[in-house]
Amino acid sequence: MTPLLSFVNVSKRYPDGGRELLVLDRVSLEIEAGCSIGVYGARGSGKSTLLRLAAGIALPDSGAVCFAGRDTTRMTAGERSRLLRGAIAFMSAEDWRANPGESVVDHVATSLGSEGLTMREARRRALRVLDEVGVGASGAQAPVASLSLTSRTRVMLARALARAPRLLVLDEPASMPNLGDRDRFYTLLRSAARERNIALLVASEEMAALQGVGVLMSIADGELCSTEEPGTLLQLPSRRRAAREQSG
Amino acid sequence: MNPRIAGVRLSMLFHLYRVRLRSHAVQELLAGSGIAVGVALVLGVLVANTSLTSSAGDLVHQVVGSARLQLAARSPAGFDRRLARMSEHLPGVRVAAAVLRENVAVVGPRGRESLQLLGVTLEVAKLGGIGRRNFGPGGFSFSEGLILPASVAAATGAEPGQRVTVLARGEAHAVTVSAVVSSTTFGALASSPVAITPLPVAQRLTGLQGRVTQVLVQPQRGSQARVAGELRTLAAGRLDVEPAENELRLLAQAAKPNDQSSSLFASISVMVGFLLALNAMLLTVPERRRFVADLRMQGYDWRQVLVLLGFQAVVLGLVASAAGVLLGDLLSHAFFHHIPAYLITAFPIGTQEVLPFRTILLALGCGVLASVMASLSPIADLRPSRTTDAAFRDRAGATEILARRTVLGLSIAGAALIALITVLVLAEASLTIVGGVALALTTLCAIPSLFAAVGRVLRWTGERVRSSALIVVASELRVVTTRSVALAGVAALAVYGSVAIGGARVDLLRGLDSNFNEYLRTADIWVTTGGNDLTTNAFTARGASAAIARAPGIASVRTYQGGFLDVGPRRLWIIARPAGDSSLIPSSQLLHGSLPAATRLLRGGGWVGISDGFAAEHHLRVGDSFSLPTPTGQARFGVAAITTNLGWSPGALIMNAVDYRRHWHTGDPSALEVDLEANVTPAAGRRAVERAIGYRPGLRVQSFRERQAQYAADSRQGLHALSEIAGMLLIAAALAVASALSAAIWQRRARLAALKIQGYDTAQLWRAVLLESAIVLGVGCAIGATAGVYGHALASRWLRLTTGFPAPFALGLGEVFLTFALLAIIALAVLSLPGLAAARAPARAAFQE
Amino acid sequence: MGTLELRDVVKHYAGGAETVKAVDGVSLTVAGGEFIALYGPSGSGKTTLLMLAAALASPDSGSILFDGRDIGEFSERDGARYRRVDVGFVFQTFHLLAHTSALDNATIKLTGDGCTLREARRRALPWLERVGLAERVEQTPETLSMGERQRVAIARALANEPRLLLADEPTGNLDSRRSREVIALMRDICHERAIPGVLVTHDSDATRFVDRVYTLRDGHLADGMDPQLAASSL
Repeated sequence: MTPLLSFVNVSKRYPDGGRELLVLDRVSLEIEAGCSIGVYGARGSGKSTLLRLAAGIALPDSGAVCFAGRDTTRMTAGERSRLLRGAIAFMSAEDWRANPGESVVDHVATSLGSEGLTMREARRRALRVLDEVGVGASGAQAPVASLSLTSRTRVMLARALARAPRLLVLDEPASMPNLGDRDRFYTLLRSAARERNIALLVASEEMAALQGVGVLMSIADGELCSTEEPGTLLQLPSRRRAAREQSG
Repeated sequence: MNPRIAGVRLSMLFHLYRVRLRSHAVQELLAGSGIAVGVALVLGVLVANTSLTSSAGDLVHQVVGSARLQLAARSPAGFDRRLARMSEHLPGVRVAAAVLRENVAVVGPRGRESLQLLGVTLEVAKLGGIGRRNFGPGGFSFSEGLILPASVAAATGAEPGQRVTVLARGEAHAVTVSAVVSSTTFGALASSPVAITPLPVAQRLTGLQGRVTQVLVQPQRGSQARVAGELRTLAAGRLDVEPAENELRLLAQAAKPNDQSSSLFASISVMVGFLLALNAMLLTVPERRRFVADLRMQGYDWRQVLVLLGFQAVVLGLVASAAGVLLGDLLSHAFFHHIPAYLITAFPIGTQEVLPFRTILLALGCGVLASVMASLSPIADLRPSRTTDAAFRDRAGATEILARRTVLGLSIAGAALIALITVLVLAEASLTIVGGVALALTTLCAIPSLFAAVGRVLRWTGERVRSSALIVVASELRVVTTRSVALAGVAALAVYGSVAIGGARVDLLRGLDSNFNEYLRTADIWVTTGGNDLTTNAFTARGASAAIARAPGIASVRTYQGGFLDVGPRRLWIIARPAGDSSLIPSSQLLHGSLPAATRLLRGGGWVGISDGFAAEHHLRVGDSFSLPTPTGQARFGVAAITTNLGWSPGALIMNAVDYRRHWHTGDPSALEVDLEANVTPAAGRRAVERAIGYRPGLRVQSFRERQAQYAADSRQGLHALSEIAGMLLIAAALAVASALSAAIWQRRARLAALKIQGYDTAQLWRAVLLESAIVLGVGCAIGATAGVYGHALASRWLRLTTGFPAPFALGLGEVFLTFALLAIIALAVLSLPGLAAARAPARAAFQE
Repeated sequence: MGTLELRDVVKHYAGGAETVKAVDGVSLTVAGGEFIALYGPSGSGKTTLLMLAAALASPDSGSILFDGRDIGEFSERDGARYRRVDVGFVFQTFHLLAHTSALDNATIKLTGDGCTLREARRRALPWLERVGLAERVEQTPETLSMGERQRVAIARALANEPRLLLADEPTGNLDSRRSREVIALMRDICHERAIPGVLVTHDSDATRFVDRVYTLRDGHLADGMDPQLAASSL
């Protein structure tokens, strides 16, 4: 069966001052439909880059990223946008951007505009999804500016789910101070994914976020390593990046 | 009705814009006001341009109706009415209506108005126009009184049934006002300085019994050429046969300098307005980029993004432009309704504003274009080389930096443009207007290189001077950004416009002042019909000359004559001086010929001084002879001297009063020139003359100084509107630049707060903010002033060469610095508060991104 | 050298509908030569504490003393002077001046205090060398890597030879190796010059290189512990 998402020898470099940093080094992975993968890595390990490549937001320097059998690197910008419109949803707590004065339901609804829905139709769908993530009718009418960090994360999730994606890519989604809130969010996430048969690709620098994933991987120095049994953490490989930098 | 555009519903587009407005109201307002100001300026000037000629056009059409030809007198004394009757009976003539037109004054309870008296017969009704609607059955009864337009009635305080005094040719007559007409029934007529009365009444008032000045002829279908020939035979070389609307052609010629300078100004306003809008929109770029990025992360593709951006730009552009149109209309009402007085003496033009639809569309179009162009920058993020969420990653805020190559290229282009302009203008003076607009563009080219130089100076200074503010500013201005160029550009254009136009205006006024000074200096006391004419209204002397000569303290009295003569497209100002005048040709206005020789020739008779434009048109040089159409037929004259246009743009002609008397067949003076004895004061002399002439309300006695002051005031009034606009442009630019700078600084709050953490206090930061703003403004002003000085020189040269006005160029550095200072003061004053607020940014701002 | 002392400091912010108790009765002392970490999740009040220590805000109640002076009583000018002369502040988004060389960026506090640029450069250069950027002093931030930029920011903070070092998530944009280098550098400087240093972070890895760790949660402090104990307790 074709995997939903696959990386084949993907590399990515970023300019850093005068030099280039090798952020991903010939990385390969496969995600089946409905599965969940967690990527554990420290800051600067390349996990955000990995996720952005998975969603088609950025393009790799070499290698192929295939979604549902099609190579995203060969798609036009328009086709990749359409992936974001329906098939893939990307969620990152850092990219929270809301207009003051906008209500929660409107914030979710406007993301559906690209499908050609009217506001009324979009709002109806938004309300349904908000209800599913635990934001009731009164919460839906509240202005986005008044949201606590916990509620904000739920709203972001609702926005992602509203488009009925097949793959949900999450970059450090829950940064609430309260550990209990975090646990509740991840539970919600996993049940929503299970119910809708959405594949999950989650990255975090905290292990707690990655409990319950199907496959656990770790990333460091641009290399992705997987572990056979979920819950076991492989030792991080030696630092080869320093050697690479010194040589070239 | 909710169509999908590129897959997005129209209602969704509206919703997204509503959301944006709610959250970024201030920025949209700023952008919109930039657009509105630019559009207002453009519209105001365009309206001023068209009002003059189109309101005159309306009036002429109303009077002329369906007449195609006219038989016109060459002097205000007119011609025998029998000629009018004869033309009626010419074969091929359907209608011939006789008209008597004279410049008179009407005095009512509230004041006095100069206007043109139209004496008409009922024949005029047959021509359509005002005639049919208003004088025929069902219209006004044509009684013995005056019909006044609403504007005149308001100015003089006259009401129907009241008696007013009509001063015509030096005589006063009491007349009843039979009706006051409003614009609803009379259109352009209601705001023109005219008065209508039956022909016999007009003849009585002016003392021109049995005479008319014009016959309007409507030929039968297809007979126009034949009728024209017959009329010419009838005229026998003593009258002009012209198209019925000839007046408009003459007016267009006379108003040309006005039109052309307004065009120059309109073009500069367009550029300033566009830059204002662009500037304001540029400020909103960073957050609009993030807005676009967010949508793209939610799956909107580039087509949908384009539609959204375009939608928002068009809506903003339309709304802002509409506001600009309204504002521009207000502007034109407030500032542009002054018709230059010197034009009114020769043409009866009213002050009705005409706002043609085409002008509104043009102004709207400009505004929308500016809005669209300025809002396109988020499109740069749509390039395939950028990631979808690039805007989120570029937290520093992308200010477009101009590469050194671009700066160099622009300054080379600017220098080349200046060279090209110089060559063009030297070769063909009439291209100066184009040169003026191009010169404005060169200011924009030069700004980046000045910024680069200033950056280097700042760095050099910063190394040697202890100033914390300087270090911060030096780093901000180290590179040349589009934003600072745009900001400085607005200032530069405003200063350029003000300096160039202000400078040329001062030159013109100086030239006119010295011109009229010499013109009037030939007499200590002037006796005229008063009003703001060019001494062209004749009056019956009735022994006044002799009476004055007998009065004590009077040395001599001379008769001066003058008028207008239509030669081709020019309504020439005729100056007929008595030989006894101390100077016949003003020395400051002499261009070709020797003054003593020319004066001698003029005194002898048969020779005239003509103005530059007329000489060029007829290829005449000093010493040539030419033939002039006069009321008694063609007369030959020799060219004794060539002068400027003496302040009247179609041109002037100076002759001996004896020649005038012979060819115009009249001894009526247009003025009596009185010389006083040595020890008599002007006030005493004036009193003596008034006593000598007795009670004659139609005459006005003025000393040389008084009349000179009147002429000076008239010149200034005519040119006033132009300098008012220049001033407004300056203020608008200052406000716009200040608000744009404020917004730009506000966006840097986080960086300012970071400096605070490093130990800068509020005072230091505020100084840095002001210094930076002052430098940006300074760069713009410096370039604008430099270009403005060159523009001033070009404009004065154009006035002299192309229009023949006296406009000696003199560098007015005081004016330049004043302009500079005004802009800087306004801008910095507006800037200081927001700048202070930004400088006081709480340190927390540095932590939150 | 100087000691930083916080006595029962309370700071509230009005945030939306409710008042946020950013710092709720914190007392601690940092002696000269000590490099401590304030550790806790975001929103726990660490940044606020730092701002209080830098006289960027004054406490609602309690007092903050540096070298015996109550910095909560400082006027705006006094505060600015204090930051210019006594404090070295390093933070996550460093805000270096664009298009300006690393050396000139490092001089920013000195020129703010009235030095000429020449003199300031002379004083700042050794610090750039100390942070390992001797060869890159003329480079502008656009051509420096993130790690190098952070090191410029550190040199900037130290160029005026401060008597108190404050750092707010300085390693936020760095990877683990560089984070460790930067924190070790700051610790060494505190030891060498015998000045107190406070590091605020939510990175448990970073806490391994400090002398003591204080944990903050919801504005409250847990006792200063050895770093190893602190990390394992979470």
